Amino acid sequence: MALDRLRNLANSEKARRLADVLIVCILVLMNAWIAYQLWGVLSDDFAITFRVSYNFSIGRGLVYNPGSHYQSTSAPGYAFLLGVIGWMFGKGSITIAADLLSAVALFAIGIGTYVLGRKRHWFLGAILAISVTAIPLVWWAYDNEFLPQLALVVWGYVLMERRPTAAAVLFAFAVVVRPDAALALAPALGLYIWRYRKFPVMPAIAFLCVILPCAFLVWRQYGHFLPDTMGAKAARLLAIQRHDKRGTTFFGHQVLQWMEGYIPLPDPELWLYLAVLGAVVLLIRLRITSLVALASWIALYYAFYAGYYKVYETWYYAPVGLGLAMMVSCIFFELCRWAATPKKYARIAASTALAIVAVLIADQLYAYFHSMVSTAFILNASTGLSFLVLGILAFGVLAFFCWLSVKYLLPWTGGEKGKFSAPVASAPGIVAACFALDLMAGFLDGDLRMAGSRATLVRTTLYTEAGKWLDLHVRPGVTVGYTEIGFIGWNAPNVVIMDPLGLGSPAPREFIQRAMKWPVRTQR
Amino acid sequence: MKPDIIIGHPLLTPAVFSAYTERAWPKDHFVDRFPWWYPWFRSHYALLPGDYLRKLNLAHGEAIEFYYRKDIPMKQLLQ
Repeated sequence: MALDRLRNLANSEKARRLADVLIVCILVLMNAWIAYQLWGVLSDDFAITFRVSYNFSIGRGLVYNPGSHYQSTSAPGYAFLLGVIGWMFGKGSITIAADLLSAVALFAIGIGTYVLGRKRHWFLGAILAISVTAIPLVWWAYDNEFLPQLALVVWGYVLMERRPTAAAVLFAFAVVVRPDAALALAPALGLYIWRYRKFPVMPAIAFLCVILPCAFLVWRQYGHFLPDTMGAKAARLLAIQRHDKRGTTFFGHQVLQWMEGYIPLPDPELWLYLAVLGAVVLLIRLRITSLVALASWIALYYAFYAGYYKVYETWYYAPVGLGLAMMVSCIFFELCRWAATPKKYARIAASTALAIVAVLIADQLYAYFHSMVSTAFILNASTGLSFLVLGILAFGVLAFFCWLSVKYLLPWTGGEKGKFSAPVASAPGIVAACFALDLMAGFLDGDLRMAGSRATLVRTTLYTEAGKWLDLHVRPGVTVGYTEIGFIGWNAPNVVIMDPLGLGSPAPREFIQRAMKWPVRTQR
Repeated sequence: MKPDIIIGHPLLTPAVFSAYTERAWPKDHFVDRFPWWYPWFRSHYALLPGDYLRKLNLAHGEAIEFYYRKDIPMKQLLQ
């Protein structure tokens, strides 16, 4: 009887309202902590966009090198916004504004995913919002344009049903912030047409009203619409193809490629696309329809960037992190719900828990033996000196979650405790614990993000000094070349800087285009 | 188009910047530390003398190198 009361309470309107208030408070606290940890910690590439913004703020146009017409940033709208802030408040305000924008955006993503998950159940929304906020993969993008873009897309999907015109405006701003958000339009448009059997005329007009003036301004500045940065991504692809997948950090991809020697396999990427598509189908099967659009967008994003191997590194993880948080939250939620039928539950819970534990072990081994390559897919924070501490904590968390799920969660979600064994019943606990451990590892370990690591901070200091030195000693008109042009460029705003990937200037891009057999576009 | 000054780490290959010449694409790539075109790079660029480097307070023992184009007098590049 007591359990029934608890179950009814969980599904009541009162619980829902309480959850709304609690989740806002929790997200505010979490975001305050994350902002405190990551404030001012920048990756080198972010400074490329900041230099573009600075050049705009002092009237040189939205360009990296003064006098050029080259779109060096993948995020013209974001650079423009920071440029306006820089024009109003000075150079120092650009990095502060980037920090603030990311903090607000991450909070908005948390609330947005809560609202989406809440359409199914507040409990799903709550674990989703907390996971998305806490997953370290998302933090990679702190201070660049990914989080504002993600926030706009998530809120576009939130408003899609009731206010499609407002959603279209948000999508348009997301595209302006970073043009690859155009991928987010496909699921929104598809779902609208499928649901209402008509083309969204008013939303389309609203979308064009935002996009067309921006496109005109971009065309006037650069002579074309899309950023010039895809060549640099292609150059990375060339590097990876020629050097035994050195840039690839996702261990599953490597495993598939080792297998290629023994078993006839199609393109390894195909398996990953199928896995992501499977996840979307799973969401539809589970009737978590409010998240289908978001999952479809992440699947499209994944397929688009997997072709460039970009999805396996740095801030390109951010949407993948959102997808991962979504999948784990949904699996956990469904496992709890299916506890009502022991047979199903035992089968699904055991196999899921085994799969996740296997992935975590494999990931650990991979990270251990290849730590010099890059961060591993998940649990990357636990590979350093903190391994021992986290190992001890892991046991504690695991035990706590198992106890919690058997004692409270299982009966609360309708399962019958007496009908199957406690180890099987604790499977959702193991799943949650694995995920919680990963989140906690990220939360506790300040060195999680490469940008915050000691080696990178040393490099940043060096680049800053080198940039200042160049600004003092290089004569006007002299060109300087280096591979990483963020901090050096940011600290030497008057020096013309080039890089071999073709981010800063068009010179090397034509070689890359020829190597990729792309049509060569000559810069005006 | 070759840059006038190139920044390099001794190990992070200053030779990466021969990628500015077409011969580096697609035969080889910038992640090579000592590629076959390294001699070509050294024949076109020279290491900046220590006087200039001392002006840059090198941090944490990590070396940084400045190379300049041999066909342009150094005084035209730096002040």
